[in-house]
Amino acid sequence: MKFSLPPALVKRYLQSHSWIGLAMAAVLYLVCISGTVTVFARYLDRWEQPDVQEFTQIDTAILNNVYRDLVEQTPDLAGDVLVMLPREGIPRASLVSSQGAWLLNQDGSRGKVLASPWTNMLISLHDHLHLPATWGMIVVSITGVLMTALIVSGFLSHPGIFRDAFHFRQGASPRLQQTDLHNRLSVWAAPFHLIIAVSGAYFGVAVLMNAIIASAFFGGDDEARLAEVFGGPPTLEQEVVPVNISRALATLEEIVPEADPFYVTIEDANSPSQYMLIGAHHTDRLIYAEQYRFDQNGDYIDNVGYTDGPVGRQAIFSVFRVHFGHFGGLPVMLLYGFLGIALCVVCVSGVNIWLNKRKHKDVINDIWPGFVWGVPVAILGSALISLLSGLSAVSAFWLLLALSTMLGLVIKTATITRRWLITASALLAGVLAAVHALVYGGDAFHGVALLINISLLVTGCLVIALMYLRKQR
Amino acid sequence: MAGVMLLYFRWCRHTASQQWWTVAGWLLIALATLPWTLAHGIEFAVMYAFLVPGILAWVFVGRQWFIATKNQVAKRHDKKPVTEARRPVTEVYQLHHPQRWLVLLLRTAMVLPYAGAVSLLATVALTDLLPLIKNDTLVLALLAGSLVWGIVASWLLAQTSLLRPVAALAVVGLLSALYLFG
Repeated sequence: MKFSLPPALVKRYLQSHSWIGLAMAAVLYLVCISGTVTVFARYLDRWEQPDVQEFTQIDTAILNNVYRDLVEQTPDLAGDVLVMLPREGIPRASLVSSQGAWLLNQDGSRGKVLASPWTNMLISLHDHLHLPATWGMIVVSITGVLMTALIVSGFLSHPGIFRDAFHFRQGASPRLQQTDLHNRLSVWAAPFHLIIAVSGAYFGVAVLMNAIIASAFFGGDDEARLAEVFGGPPTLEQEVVPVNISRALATLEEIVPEADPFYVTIEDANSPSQYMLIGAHHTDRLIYAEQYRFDQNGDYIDNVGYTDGPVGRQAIFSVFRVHFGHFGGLPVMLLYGFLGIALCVVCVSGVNIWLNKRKHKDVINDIWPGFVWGVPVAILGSALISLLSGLSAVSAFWLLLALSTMLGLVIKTATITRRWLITASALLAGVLAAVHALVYGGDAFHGVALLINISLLVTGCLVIALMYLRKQR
Repeated sequence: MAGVMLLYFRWCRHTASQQWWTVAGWLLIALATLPWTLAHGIEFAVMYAFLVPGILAWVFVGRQWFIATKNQVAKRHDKKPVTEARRPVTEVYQLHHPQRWLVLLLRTAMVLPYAGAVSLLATVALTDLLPLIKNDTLVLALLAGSLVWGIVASWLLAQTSLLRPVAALAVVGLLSALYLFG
C-alpha cells in the first residue's frame, strides 16, 4: 500500500514549509549554532579560566568549613547556596551564593571568582537570545515549535524524500546541490531534529502551559503545581546550625552506594526550614540527577523520585541531558556537535535553495551570506575581545555580527563575502589560540585548554587549506 | 551499520523483489538496541537507536557522492553536465515585493499564537482524559504541547483559506477550555 498526499496539498505544505523556514531562518540559525557550541560549555568554561586548581576528589570535611566560613562572613545569608563538587569532565569545585560565586581550592579556601563571560554569552544566546530571560526563553521555545512545524511540513511536502534517501548529485546546479544537501541531512537527522525541537521548546512552552495547568488543576496555586510535577519541599522547623555536609555525603554513600554526588544545595540557607539537596548521577539513567534530601544535621529525609518516582517525573528530569547530549561522555557530545552543525547546514541551505530559485536578486541575497558567515566571526571575535579587554562579550558579539552583515551589503557578491568571512574566522581561530597562550602562559598548554587551543589552530589551518585547494580547482 | 547498509543496497537496486531488504534493514537497526540495552540500559539504547543510524547513513551518502563525482569527471570530457537551465536573473537592490513579505509576516504572526493557544488548551485537556496518574498526565502535556502546537501551526499555515480551519480550531479550543475551567 502506498501512501500519497494530493499534489495540491503537497504544494501548500511546501509553501508553508518555505514560509516558516524563511520567517525564522536567522533566529533558528543563531539558536542552532549557539546550541552546538554550548554542548561543549563545560570544556569552554575551563578554557576560559585555565589558571585554577583542578582535582577530582575533595575531602568532604572541608566542605563543612567552606559553608561555615560563608555563614560567619555573611551572618544574614539567605536564599540557596550551591556547592559544586569536582567530578569527571569537570574537575573543579565551586561555591555559589547570593553573595557571589567562587572556585574552590582543594583545601577549601576560596580561589578566583567564577567568571566565564564568553561561555555565558553563548549559553544566554542559546537560552534567550540575550533578550530579557523569560520572554527570550519563550521566543526561543517558539523557535522549537516552528522547528517541529518545519519537520512536519518538510516530510509532507517532499513525498520522494525517503525514495531519494541516499541520492546526492554532484556537478549539478547550485540549487540542486543545496537541495540534495538540505534533504539528505534533514531526512537522516530527523529523529535528532525532533528530539532537539521538542526538548528545546519544552523550557519556554512550559512557562505558558504552567499558567493553564495551575489555574485548571491547582486553583492558581503554582507552588502546588510545582510540588506535583517536581516534588514538594520537606516541612522542617529547626534551630539554625551550620549544615553538616560531610555527614550527609557519608550517609548517602551508605544508603545509595551507586549514586555519584556532584552538587550540594543548601535550600533556604540559614533559616529554620533549611535542608540539603544532594544531586547525584546514576550512570545507567538519563535523568540529570536524583536529588537526595537531608536535614541540617545530615540526617536522611528522602529522595525526590527522579529514579524511582512517577514516570513523568523521571522523564521531565531527563530533558536537559537529552537536549544537550550530556550522556555517554565525549563521543555523544561529539555526535551532538556533528548533528548540530548538520542542523545549521539544513537551516542555511533551506534559505539558499529559496534564494537560488528566485528570478531576481535583492537585498536578502547580500545580507544572508554576511549574516551566516558573520556568526562564526562574531563568536570567535567576541571570545578574543573578552579575553583581551574584558569588554562585554554580548556587545562584542552583536557588534561583530552587525559589521559582518553590513560587509555583505557593501561587497554585494555572495562568494566574495563568504570567502572574506571564512578567512576572517580561520584567522581569528588561530589568533585566539595564540592570544590565549600569551595571556595564560603555561596554563594554556595542558588539559582542556591545550585541547581547545590545538582544535582552534587545526580548524583554522584546515579551513584556509580547503579554501586554497578549492580555489586551485 | 549492517542495517543501514541493507537499506542502501535496497536503494541502489529499485526492484520490488528486494523489498525484504528494507524490512531486514530496519529490523537490524531495531535489534541494535539489544546490545546497547545490555551495555548501557534501555534509556541510552533508545537514544542511540534514534541518533546513530542517521550518522552511519552518511557513509553511504558519501559513497554516492563519490560515485557521482567520479562519473562527473568522466563525463566532463564528453559533454556538458546536466544542470538546470540558467534563468535570467534581475537584480534589484532593495527588498523585492515588500508588501508580500508584510502579508506573510502578519499571517504568521496571527496564526502562530492562535494555533498555540488552542493546541496547549487541547493538549492539557486531552492528556487529562488519559488513564494516567496526575504527574504523568501533566508531564505528558508539558512535553507534547510543543509538538501539537508545531503540527497545528504547519497545518494552519498550509491552508489557502483560513476561515474554516480557524472556526474548527475555535470549537476545539472552546471545548477544551470548558472541560478545564467549566
